[in-house]
Order: sequence, then structure tokens, then C-alpha cells
Amino acid sequence: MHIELLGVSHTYNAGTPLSHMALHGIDLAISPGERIGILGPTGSGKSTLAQILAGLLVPTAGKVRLDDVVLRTRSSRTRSRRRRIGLALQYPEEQIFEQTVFREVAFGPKRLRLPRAEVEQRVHWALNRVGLPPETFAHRSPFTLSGGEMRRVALASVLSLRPDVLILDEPTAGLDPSGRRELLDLVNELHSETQCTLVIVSHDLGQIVRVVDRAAILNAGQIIADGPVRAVLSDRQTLANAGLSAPAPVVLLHRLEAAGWPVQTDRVLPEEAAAEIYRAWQARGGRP
Amino acid sequence: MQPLIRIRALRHTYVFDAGVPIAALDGIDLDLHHGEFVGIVGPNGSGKSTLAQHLNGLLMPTSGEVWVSGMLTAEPRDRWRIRQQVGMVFQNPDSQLVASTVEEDVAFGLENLGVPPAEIRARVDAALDAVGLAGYATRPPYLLSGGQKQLVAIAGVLAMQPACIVFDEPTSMLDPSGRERVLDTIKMLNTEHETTTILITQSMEEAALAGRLLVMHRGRIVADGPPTRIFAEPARLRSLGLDLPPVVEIAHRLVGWGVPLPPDLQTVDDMARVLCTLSS
Repeated sequence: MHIELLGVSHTYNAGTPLSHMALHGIDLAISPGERIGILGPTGSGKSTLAQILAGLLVPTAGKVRLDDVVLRTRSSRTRSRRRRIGLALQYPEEQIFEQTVFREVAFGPKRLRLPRAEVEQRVHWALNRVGLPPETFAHRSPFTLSGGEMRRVALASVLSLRPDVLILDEPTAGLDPSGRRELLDLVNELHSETQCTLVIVSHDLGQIVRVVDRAAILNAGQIIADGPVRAVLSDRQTLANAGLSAPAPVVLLHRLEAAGWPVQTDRVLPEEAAAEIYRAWQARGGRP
Repeated sequence: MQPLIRIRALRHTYVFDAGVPIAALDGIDLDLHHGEFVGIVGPNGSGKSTLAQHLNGLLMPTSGEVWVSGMLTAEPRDRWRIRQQVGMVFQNPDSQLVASTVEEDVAFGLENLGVPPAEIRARVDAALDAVGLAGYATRPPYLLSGGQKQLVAIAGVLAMQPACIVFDEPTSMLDPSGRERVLDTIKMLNTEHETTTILITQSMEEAALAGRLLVMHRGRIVADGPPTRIFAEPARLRSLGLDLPPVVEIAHRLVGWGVPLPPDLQTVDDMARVLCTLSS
């Protein structure tokens, strides 16, 4: 599905003394199958943008277009488009409420009034997809699972809706390093299997490059950078303007570049930066 | 000198609905000394937060003993003195603030202790000053950023003049600039106020700030030492579900390829400086 935001602004409590403009004149187009990260500090409007992209919030100004349909409240065409978008909110496990993992993941498909066999098939697919084999997990209470497992149940609940567009708000927050890596691997597998559009909202700049190709930086409700993820993450000045800090490997490479080392500064992951530094060290005459 | 906190054979079991007890802490022996900065890392479910809640008697041992300044946490009589000694700052800034202005929030604990008003005023001002929020006394907390709210929570603990503050993932819900301010404040409290500091974190970069690092796994302490020593075993860390901080990982890889680097590089500054002085 093609998503387009044209001049989108959103003001909370408009017309009251508490009026607060969260987004200001956003133009953003996301192509089918694209993987984009929306990065920005707290209060920059990331979550508001995620809710608008998901069609949960209608902006106070501007247009949201999903393929050829302009979103409006209460139109059936809007509803049918919106159903193709899945949003996992921050700390989604806090919203788990069913007594078994199966019922939790089946909740969405049941509300779509799908036949029972299809609901079951979708739940099994989603649980397998997130690495929680249904034969082991389907009948357990979600509340006996670990934090990482609960996060995956919450993700399966969104996947069971078979969305064309998957929006994840801070998907790795609160997970330990191996949980973080597993979740990102899972998102990658999912994308290559389903070719869904991926929108990942995050302020974890060190890892985002593993799952997206494009990044947009949001600051005070405006997009101040939008481009290939490595270019965006190695632009220290723009990141600093948004109150974000570049990943440590990028900072190190900038430091070496300033000292005259022949290095590319867009190597964001530690393993890439190490290879780049090694290459430059040899170019400067270093011998192991 | 006796340790500030002494833990012996501590076990803590939770019983879930299925009735099978799960040992969250499975035999902890630990001494924490005055003025130390101790980091605690470990995968989700390894027992970090359960251990934290034993440090000031929020939880009672299933078996074993926890002593704070010579007082036993299981002794009801000493509970309030122990909580005054060991303060806690939690993950979610929104769930820790209770009052309608910043200064009332910071004063909350002192009022409950019956401290005289003039002293409350002095302590609140000093605490807000220490965390860099002196100009925010009369603001309502809900208008502050996440990082600022967390600093208010720290000021509230600081006003109690504790010997030790336990920070349970204090930055995990903050953005990078909020995180930096909170970490700077934590470091400052440890070095300038000599507050004993326990920092539980998922970030190995933050863990590297500590002078002593504990690694927890399945309710036990499986490593205890200076961060440089813990980071020297990357394969073991990975098998425990943990990572190296990015700079340490880069250094390990370069050393593996034959670049002559010292073993204890942890910060971008040190790493850049050492690389630039390598003979070329």
C-alpha cells in the first residue's frame, strides 16, 4: 500500500489554552514494501505520527492518502484501508489481557469475523512466525511468560491481522541485548517473507540500521532529515540539532577523520566500523 | 569496615498461578561497600529487579538474610530506617511523581518523616540544585520532559539523604539527551556526594560507567569485577545473552586482527586518542 502524508499538522486540544501542536506540515511518502525508521527525541511527535499513519488519529490539518483513498473519519473505504495497517504500540505487552496466548492472538482475527478455521490458522502462523511454537505456548497464560516472550505475543497479535503495513513503536524498548537482536532478526525475516511495509519508530539509533533502509528525523513536529539510513545516522550535526546523539562507532569515525584518517564515517555498526578502521590503519602503514 | 549492605544466601521464590515456585534469586552472597558504584547487568528475568527490591526491604527473603548498615531487612522495627538509608529510583518517571508541583514532590518523603519545615525547605532546595532543576520548583511535573521527571524523582530520593541509591533501569524510557542528563547526575552524586550507587541497566555502555560490575543469570551472580575484566570475555557475555559496548567491541575486533591496542579501552575519546598515537 502506498502511504502519502500531505501538509499534515496535528494540534491536541485545539482552541483551548492547553492547545499543543504536535506535528507541523509533514510531507512524507512511503512506498509499498519500504522499510523506514522514524527517529526523534521524546516529544518530537513520533508517536502522534505513528497513530496518524495507522489511521487511528485524523490530523487537524492536511491529508493522509492510502493508495487512492483519502482518509476520513467514519467512511467505510477508510475503514477497509485502515484494516490493512497493523500498529504495535510501545510496551505492547502491557495491553495483553486474555487468559491464554491463543485467545490473545485470536482476538483481532475474531473481531474481523473470520471463520473459525481461518482464525486458528492465522494464530498458528503468527505464533510460529514470532518463534513461539503453538503446541508449547498456545494454552499458556501470557502472564507466565518472560518479558521478551510477552513482547512477541503482542507482536503476533498484530501479525494475525495480516497487515500490509506494520508500524512498530519502540519495538525493542526494555528488552535485553539478545532479546533486542532476536526481535530485529524476526522483523527482518517477516519483511522478507511478507514484503510488508515497515515503519519503525525509535530512539535506539545504534540498532535501527539492522532493520531499515531509510530514516527520517523528527524534531519539534517537523521532519528535519529524510534519506538513506546510513547517511542520516552519520550526519552528526542534524542529529545533534534534534537532541539525538550519533551511534558511538560514527562518533569514533568522525574523530579519526578529523585527525586525518582516510575513513568513511557512515559505518554505523561496530563490526562495520572496526573493518573500516582496520582498512585505514593499514592504509596508514600499520602492519599486524 | 563493615559493608553498607551485606547479603547472605538470599533466595527469593515467586509462585505463579500454576503453583510451581520459580526461584528469581537462587543463592546470592554479596557485600556492597560505602561509596561504590556498582553496575548490575543480566538478561530479562535474571533477577536484577528482584535483587534491587531486597536492598531496602521492599521484598522479604524467602530464605537468607539482607543487612543494611547492620540492620536486618526482615526486622519490621528497622524498616523505615532502612528505607531512609537506601533510596530507589525506578524505570518509569510517570509512576513515581505524586504531587502537583516539583517542590512538593521532592518534599513528600520528608513531610512523611516529620522533618521540620525549615529543614524541609533547605533540603528540597539543595536536592533540586544538585540535579540541576533549581528553577523548576513551582512547575507542575506533568509539563516536564521524561528526563526532567526522572531528575525530580532522583531529587526526591536525594532529599532523604540516603547513603545509597538504587537506580532500576532509570534511563530505559528516556531519549538520548534525557538519558545523558540523568547519567551525568548519577555519576556526579557518586563522585561528589559519595552516594553509594547501584545502577541496574540493559545498556552495556552505561554499565561501563561503574567501577564494579555484577552479571546476573538465572537468579545468581555469575561474574563480579571491574567492567574491563568482565568485557575481556566477550564469548561468555554473549552466551549469557549480553553484548559488549560498541567501542569495546570495535577494540576487540581490531586487537583480534593484530592492531596493538591496550586491553582496557572503553570510551570513544580514549579509543580515538590511542589509535592516533599508534606508530604509522
